[in-house]
Amino acid sequence: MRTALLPLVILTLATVACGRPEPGLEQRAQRLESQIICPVCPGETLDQSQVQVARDMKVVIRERLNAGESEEEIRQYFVDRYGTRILAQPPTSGISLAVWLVPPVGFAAAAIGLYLVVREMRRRRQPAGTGLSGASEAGLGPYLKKVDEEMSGERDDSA
Amino acid sequence: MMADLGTIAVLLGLALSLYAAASSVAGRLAGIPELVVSGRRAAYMTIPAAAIGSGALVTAFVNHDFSIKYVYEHSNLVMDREFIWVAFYAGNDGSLLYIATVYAGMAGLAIWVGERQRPEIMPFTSAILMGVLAFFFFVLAVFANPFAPLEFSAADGLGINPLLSHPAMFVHPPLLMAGLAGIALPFAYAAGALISGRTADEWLDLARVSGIVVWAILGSGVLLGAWWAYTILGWGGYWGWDPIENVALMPWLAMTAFIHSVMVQKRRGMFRMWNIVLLNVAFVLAQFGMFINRGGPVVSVHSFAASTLGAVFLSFMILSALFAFGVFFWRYPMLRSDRPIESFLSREVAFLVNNFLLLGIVFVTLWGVVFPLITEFASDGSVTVATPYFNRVNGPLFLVLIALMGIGPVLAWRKASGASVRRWLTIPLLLSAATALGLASAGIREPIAILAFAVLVFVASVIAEEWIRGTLARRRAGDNWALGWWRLLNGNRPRHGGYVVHLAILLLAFGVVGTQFFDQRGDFALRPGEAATIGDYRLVYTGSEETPRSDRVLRTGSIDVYKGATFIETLRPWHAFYPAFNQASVRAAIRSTPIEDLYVVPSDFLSDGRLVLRVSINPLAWWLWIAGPVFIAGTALALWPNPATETRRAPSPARPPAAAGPSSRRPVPGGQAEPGSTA
Repeated sequence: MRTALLPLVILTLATVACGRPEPGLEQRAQRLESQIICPVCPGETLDQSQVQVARDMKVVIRERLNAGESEEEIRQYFVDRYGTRILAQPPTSGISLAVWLVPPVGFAAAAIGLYLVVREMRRRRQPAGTGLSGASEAGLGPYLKKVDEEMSGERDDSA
Repeated sequence: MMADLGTIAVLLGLALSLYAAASSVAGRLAGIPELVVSGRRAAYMTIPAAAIGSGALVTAFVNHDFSIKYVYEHSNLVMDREFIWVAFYAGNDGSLLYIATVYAGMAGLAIWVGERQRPEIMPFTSAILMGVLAFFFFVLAVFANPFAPLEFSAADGLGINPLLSHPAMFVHPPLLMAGLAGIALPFAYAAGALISGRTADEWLDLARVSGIVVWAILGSGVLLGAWWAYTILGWGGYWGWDPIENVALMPWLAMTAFIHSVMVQKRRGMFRMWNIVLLNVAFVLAQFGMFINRGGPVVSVHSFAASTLGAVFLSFMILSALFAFGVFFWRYPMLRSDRPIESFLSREVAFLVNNFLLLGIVFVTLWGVVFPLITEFASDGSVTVATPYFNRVNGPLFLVLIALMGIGPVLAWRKASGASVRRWLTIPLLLSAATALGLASAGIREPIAILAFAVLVFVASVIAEEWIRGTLARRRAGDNWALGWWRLLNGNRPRHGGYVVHLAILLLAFGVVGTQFFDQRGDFALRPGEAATIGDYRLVYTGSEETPRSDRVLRTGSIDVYKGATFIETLRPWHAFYPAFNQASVRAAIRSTPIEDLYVVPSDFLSDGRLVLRVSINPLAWWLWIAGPVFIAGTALALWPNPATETRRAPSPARPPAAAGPSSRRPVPGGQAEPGSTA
């Protein structure tokens, strides 16, 4: 399994290392359009919105990119005019840092919790001892053999 | 006349559902079976009561009875007549009446089936089902009466929202609302059993089957909503992580967790508490969805007009949560697992991880929906949490979840052997690595997309591997390929139906990755005769024609599409402006192929004669919509009842001890020994 995974990992790393070609002006404009909310239509980004305001803002984005402004400067330009709510994803600062931090922290905590619970559930089986005795398992032999026969060719986990 | 009839029907429905709930409980507690029977009959009678109410409203629409305010607000004389059915549930009041009607039918069916299988839990289950119905009728009677009269007389109505004039509207809202309301069914079975003191698996099969049905209804509703958005909202997308979309997705995800986790209880007698928790969570999330939908505090493109109903639905949601978890904690000491977990490498643990991821996505989505509200209270500047956030945080979780679809099925119950896992996963992993290599050498430079495609191939080949090996075995027994495969599927329908649903999810994911990572788009303003170029396509705008309609200005553009120099076809998207609403409704023209969609939508006809076109190339979008029928087929296969002949395959007198003992070192083969059990 590991030998099969290896090329996948190498390949992914290689692709990441190669990187993507430098995006053109249109790509950068479209990226911004998907990051900025249309001020008059709730929850829709500029590229989703059909209203005139959104179309005007798309023009502004292209003009500013043409004038050599960076994407960050253009985002800031809109934030200055409309406030942070114009950004489709909250900034990673101030109170809205929480929106980014809570999921990973919550996951980590829940994953640890899950691990502990499963470990605890595994421990419980030691004193339980409700299993079959060797004799009764031997008595089941013919049945289990029949199950195996039915299983042949299908996915059997007893291999 | 219709208004009176409808009002009476609603009041009657309220009285009947209250009586049904009260007499079921009283009859059970006092030990008077006649009272329980009477309650049950009252429950059945809510169906005609609700149906008469709905019938009255639809009749009022058909007759253009504008003395009823709701009819006045949602229809007019010139609207296309078939959309009267849509107008019925286009607003708050009518949609609640629709929900009450469809829910009364579902609850009646649930009571009828439950009575035949588990009569001992039914008094409390019916009471819960009827309590929910009584709430709907109560809201209809007091806060949202669809039969309220119009204060003035009107010759014509306002008409239906133009965005709703779409074929998907005949099925998307009804399925979505039915699915959301229907989550009460599996919940009521479980909670009813707990209150009755039946804390083993009495509720299990009823809740599992009804849970899968409402889950499939809700899932189809969500997917049809995506299709509607794709063809009408005019931005070339299908999912916007809008609050309303999110609140429908969350209970669906919680139910997905439940229908996986319930298999562990069915087969191994484990996770009893956990399954109840999942149903409680799904039920409360469904109430949360109704609350957000009806006057909740979140802005959305498709919430109903702001209304006072928010507080009512919020109260009901809180009550539901208190009730659900109150019952759970009351019975908590009685909910014991039969067996412990034996190994981290086991199907039980795979299901736990599946639940963990699904609930993780629910949690992220919920957090994204409520976070803007938190900031609004906590600081002056509010923030927006929209698509980029959800894609970024949920995207990886979905990918891991899909990868798990390839690993879970090869793990045995109790304890999987490393050798067996290796044997099953080697070929899929090699195929998946080959896919990644192939895509990268073909010049694709999106690492995440490559990884995603590799994962999809991995899962698909795990399923294919099982089908091929199983079919081969049947071929040796003399079947041909097709028959052998079909018999394999038939031999364990829940398991293979589940695989078909997994394939549907893969198709969906295939479309999502294609459209998310490789779409191209552009906005063009063209005069007749001018052309635009996007990708390999050249689009020539040849002109438009205007069709006069009574309620709208309908303009259809003609666009000749060339690929290279060859003419392919003429696309005719249309744009309809409704003066009464000061709103436009557009219909995209889509040239759909399995490789890519060419999507053309007219954003606007400018006064200088130019047509503003939004054009996009959406690779693999075709597969998104193929997923729907496959999803339904898989669910139907999984739920198809077992004919009597099935039982003869399992000569299982020894089954309980065989499956029980931790000291038995022989793993029970997953899902194959007993047909009908889900693996």
